[in-house]
Amino acid sequence: MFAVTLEDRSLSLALSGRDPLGIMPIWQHRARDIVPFLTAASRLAEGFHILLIGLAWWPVFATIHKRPKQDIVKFFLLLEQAFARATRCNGEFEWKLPGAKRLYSGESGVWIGLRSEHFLLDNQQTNGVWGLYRGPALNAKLIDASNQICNPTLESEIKAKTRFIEALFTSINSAITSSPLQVAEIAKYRTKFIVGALSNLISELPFKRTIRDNFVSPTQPEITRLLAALALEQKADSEIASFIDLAIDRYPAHSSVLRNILRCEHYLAPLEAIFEYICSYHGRYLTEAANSIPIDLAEIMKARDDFQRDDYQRPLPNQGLSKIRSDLLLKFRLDSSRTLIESVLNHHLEISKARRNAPWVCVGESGRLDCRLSVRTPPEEQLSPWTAWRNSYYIDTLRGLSRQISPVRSK
Amino acid sequence: MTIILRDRLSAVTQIINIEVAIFTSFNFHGDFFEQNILPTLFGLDSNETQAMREQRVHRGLLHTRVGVFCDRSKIQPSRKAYRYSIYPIFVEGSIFHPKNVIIVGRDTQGRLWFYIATMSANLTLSGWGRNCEGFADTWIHSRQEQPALALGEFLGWLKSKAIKTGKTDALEKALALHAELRDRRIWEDPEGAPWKDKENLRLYFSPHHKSMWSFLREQYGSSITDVKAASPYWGESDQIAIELLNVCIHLVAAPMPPSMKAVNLGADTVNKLFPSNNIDIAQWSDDKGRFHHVKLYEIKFKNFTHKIIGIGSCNFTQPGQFWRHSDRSFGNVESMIFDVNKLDWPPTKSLDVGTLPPTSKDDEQPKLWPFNVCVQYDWKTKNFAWRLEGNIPDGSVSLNLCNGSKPIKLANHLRSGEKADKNMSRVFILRWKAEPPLEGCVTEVNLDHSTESYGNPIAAHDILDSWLAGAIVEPCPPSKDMDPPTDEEDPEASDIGEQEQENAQVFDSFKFYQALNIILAKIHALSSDRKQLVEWLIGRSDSILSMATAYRNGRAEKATEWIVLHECLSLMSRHKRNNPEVGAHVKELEVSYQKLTNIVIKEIKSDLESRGKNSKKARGLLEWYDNKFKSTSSENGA
Repeated sequence: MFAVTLEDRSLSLALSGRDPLGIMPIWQHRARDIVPFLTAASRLAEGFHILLIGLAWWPVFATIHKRPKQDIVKFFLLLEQAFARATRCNGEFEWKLPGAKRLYSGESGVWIGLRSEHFLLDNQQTNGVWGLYRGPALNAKLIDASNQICNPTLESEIKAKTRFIEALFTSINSAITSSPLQVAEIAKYRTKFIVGALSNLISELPFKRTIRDNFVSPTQPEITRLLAALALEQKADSEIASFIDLAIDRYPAHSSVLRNILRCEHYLAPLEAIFEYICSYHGRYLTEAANSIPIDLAEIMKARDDFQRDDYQRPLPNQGLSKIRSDLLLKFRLDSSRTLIESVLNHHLEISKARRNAPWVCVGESGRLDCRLSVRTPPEEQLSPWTAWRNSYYIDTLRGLSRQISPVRSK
Repeated sequence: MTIILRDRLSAVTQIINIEVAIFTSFNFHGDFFEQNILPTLFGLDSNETQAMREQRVHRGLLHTRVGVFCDRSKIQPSRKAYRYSIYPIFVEGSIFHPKNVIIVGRDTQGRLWFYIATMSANLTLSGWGRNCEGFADTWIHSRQEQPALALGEFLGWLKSKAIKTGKTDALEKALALHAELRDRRIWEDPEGAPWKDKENLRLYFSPHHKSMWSFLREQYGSSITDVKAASPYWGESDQIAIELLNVCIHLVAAPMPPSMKAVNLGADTVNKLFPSNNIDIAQWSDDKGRFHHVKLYEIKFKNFTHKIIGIGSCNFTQPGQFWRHSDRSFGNVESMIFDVNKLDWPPTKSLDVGTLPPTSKDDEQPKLWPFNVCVQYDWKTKNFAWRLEGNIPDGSVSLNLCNGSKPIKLANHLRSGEKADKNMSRVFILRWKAEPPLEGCVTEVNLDHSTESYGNPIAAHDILDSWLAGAIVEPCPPSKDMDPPTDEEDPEASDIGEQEQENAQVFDSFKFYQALNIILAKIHALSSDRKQLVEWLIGRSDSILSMATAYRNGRAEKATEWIVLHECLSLMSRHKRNNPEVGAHVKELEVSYQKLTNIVIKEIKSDLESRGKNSKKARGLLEWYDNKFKSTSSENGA
């Protein structure tokens, strides 16, 4: 075969990793003021439903089939497969949780198994519902560290409304105990009762109120509930910056918390864009990048001063790292474009060194920038503190979940 | 035809069961190779987390031998340990420039195949991701084929550049498999292409020929009439002009990044190649700023009906095309595939002669010291070996092995040496006069004897939980590439601090033996599947070795550590004979176990003394338990 090659963009992405300036702990710390428990990956009520149902029924299953406590993960992964394959088998709506690609390309029918080829994902435990939704549920004290639902009333309610799960027990037990591990068939066609029961649950979301009370409208902080309510008023998602501006106008009592988000992002976002700008100058000299970068140093200085006024009072496990990183960013030299670019580059080198990683970009032997990524020059508005925005502060997740389980929708 | 290199590699890996993979390149970026090429070689899902991908690559490297050969001046090794060998090649006054993928394996019917690709793409992100590169490949099954012969010679040449090679390392294994090639051809290659289609295919490796042109004339038996050539780099061309006298030439130059305005083809080259002033040159059309690094040739012969296409690493320069370009000096090590084939050339546009720079540029020539030091580490003998290549023009060189030992002096009369020592960093530092120090890459050989820790360790309690759960899903190691777990991370992912904390907790011997029992049954069932057995013993993140390591590196009570090590060692020892990878770790664990036994005896002694008992019986007590444990373990494991 003779050929010429095409660009491989996913290759560049695979190398890119994330967070080259180590600022994630900073914005995540700040985001917890307004969205205390959700993460970017825990955005669907279906995930919380499957988690709660699995944890509610596990003790019953373990008792009936005399399974040791460590089998909880197997039980859960199999239950998740049953939900996923029933949703596909029913065909009325899509499986939106992780694993759709393999689900829709695999065998039809409802079946479960514990061999690697039976899983919905290469690592279903980490990248599926168990890995993505347990953390937020734990933080919200919906479940405890031993994977028990904290509120016994809720546990009883879940069991009362999902009795059909018991019909899966024999298949789950057979999938766990078969040697060698075999597939357990549950249903071939959508007409079977269990297919409808499992998929309807995913469609109806009967415990949405619990999800809402814990994640979207918690008692504390009040601003979470208000932001969720504000999101419901909007027909479509506005840009996060304008959403926060709107919230400041609407809820002046919470303006200081919201302004902290703006102050944080006004400094972080342009720094990330400056880093990308440096990367886009691969093969050229640092001076060329410094001479051409369209930044207003006075604006960035103002953003830095505002960022410095931000406080770090609320204790969090990663507060230390967040504080260390923000202190480092405050030391950037803003005398000229050249010193700022050098500060950003040196900071990246330090972060890479601390992570024992090769840097994404460095100055090569010839004095030219050597970047290992395909990075496009960021648009000019991304370099200005007042127009740049990069990070979600989990507002996207809050807005999405709020709409999905709003009381209006349930009517 | 157009392809994405990684897709092609991925397709090939699905056709045969790979035993050996050899990559050659001018430039080499270790991080890029480990994060992109190796996962593709082992068919990994790009949706996996980085830590899991790394873990699976480590498992893949337990079974598939991988070697990378690249120019010594262009290596950027990664800082992470991986079980593959990097061979920096030094060619005095010249460069090692071929870009190949050589894969050896068997198809579903057990037939042995060599797959070889010649390219212009280096093992860098630019080569595999950004640039427009040339690519040619073929399958080899019979030793009667010219490519088989050429490849065998090239592998032999590579071997001559290494101080030594381990029998199970990539190069030796490839050579051994090459010797197994049969005489008979097979009608079709594993992708269904008939062998007749490639009867004109020829594989060129420069060290075995005077020049690319002489090779072409030998193979296609006729004089050349037309040459169309595309190259990003150009240079001295006196010898090319003589070689291509009276040949109709058409040249395509590549606009150079970052401006994509200037080309490296200079007026000097054009004047020499087009003496009659009938200049026929062009440049690649703009392709969204992509650099055309492709080296592409189209050649017509006087008495050969078809046009021949050539793709590979040869730039349109004297070192690129001539291995012997004068009595004393050699050209570059290069490789090309030539064949009767159709290829749609990427679009070109006119190039005004008046815009050419006065002289051509060949940016690929490295500017480095005129000599080289090759350093190898043999995991089998635990020995370093080093060798000076070329001559030091002035003074001597200091070699630092970066393992805490004293620097070694090398001079023209002190050219080589060997010593037993620990391989700590896989890099070495050379100092020569007042020059800035040079960092080099240690070539690791006999890697199946390596006792290096590959990948990020997971905590003992995670391994135990995995065993208790039947080890259905391999636990994902924590990522050290990121900051400690933040809100976005899996809450179950543990960092090293957590591991130490865990090990300091009370040892639950019931849980441990319960888990051990499960894993013993699993391993016993696998005893006929060597590949899986080795993974369970030393390859997985929750392997027996991982458990032993977690306790060795933890803060558990010494008696606890002794029990865990005792059981792990006992289990691994049973499988060391047929699995050198396991045997190497057993040897190392035995040393730790012996030291630990002495510590535990001391502890027993001091306890007996504190209770007014006879402390001389301490050793005997432990030996009694040891014997009891041995008999129990062997009964359970039988």
